[in-house]
Amino acid sequence: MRLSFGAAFLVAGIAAGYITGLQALLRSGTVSVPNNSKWLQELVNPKDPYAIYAVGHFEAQGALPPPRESQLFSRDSDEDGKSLRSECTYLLSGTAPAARWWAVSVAPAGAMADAVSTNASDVIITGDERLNITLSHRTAAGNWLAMPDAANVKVTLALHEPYDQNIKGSASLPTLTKVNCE
Amino acid sequence: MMGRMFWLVTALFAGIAAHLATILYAPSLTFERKLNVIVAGHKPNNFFLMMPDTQAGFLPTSTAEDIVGLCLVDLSKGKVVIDAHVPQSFWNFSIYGSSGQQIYDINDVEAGADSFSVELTKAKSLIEQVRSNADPDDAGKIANSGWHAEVPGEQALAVLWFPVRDQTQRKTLEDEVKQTNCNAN
Repeated sequence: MRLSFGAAFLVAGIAAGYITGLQALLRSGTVSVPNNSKWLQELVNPKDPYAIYAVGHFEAQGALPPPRESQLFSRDSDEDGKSLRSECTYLLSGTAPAARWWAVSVAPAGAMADAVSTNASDVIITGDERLNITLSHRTAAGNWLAMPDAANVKVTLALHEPYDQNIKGSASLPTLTKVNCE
Repeated sequence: MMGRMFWLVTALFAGIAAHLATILYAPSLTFERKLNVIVAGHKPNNFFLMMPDTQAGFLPTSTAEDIVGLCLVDLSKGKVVIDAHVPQSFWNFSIYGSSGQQIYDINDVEAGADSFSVELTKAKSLIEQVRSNADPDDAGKIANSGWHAEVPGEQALAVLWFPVRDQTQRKTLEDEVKQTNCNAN
């Protein structure tokens, strides 16, 4: 069966509209954090004329947008830019988050309901206000988060009422360095 | 030539329509489907606590260790008053409109108390605002009953979140926050 010229154009137009819509939803709602940080901030800026895309980004995942007074950062790669792998051990390290409350979670990408997390009251901060959390599927000494058994892994950092509302770079956010892989 | 131009323009409009449908309706449908699963068994204007294993996927800044309470607000029959009871700790209360945007929030520092009321009413339309003699800037002011917020549309979602510092206290904290009411007047 041959598709007529008109029908082919119509199908191509609809497909293009659908694909660009999906791409726009995928890319909206996240902004990169400056200073070459691998963290992305997930947010909806109500002043943004395209905020509907950002809201759609969260709704498409069956989730509410992050509340205004919280900041949500996520990443799926280590400091070398390589994807996080469940068979590797990583060290999340940096200054202790300056917020009234914070939590670090690790989950299979797209399945935050399966996340394991630790938070401000669970984690032991060193005397020099340093945060060190080992992410590994084997238990580790000190602060530890179990890596999920998944092909793609996502790490999130939620800051609730951060003392500095304008986190401008990686200096304020912890780094995620690969230690080894099995 | 004219025939091809016609189909080109038609395809362009069909593409724009498909794009808009994808960003406007598809996410809302996914969200509503998930919300329906979460609120299943709970009537509108009823406060309940979420299951810990579902709350992190729904409120991305929360974890399973936190406590998250929800009320699906239905303003079709008039105003709704939420009388919240929260423990003396860090907490946040937000209202999301039917479009998914956060339209109101209050925390422990702003409320200055471990129990507070928020009265929700449907936002007036432009014509109603012009006709009304009432002060148009009354949203957010402290009234006798507590706080007041206007919601665009007839539905909204009230979300109460607070972290649990000591999981052994979880049951006690849950019992306290379960006293929260979400009542249509």
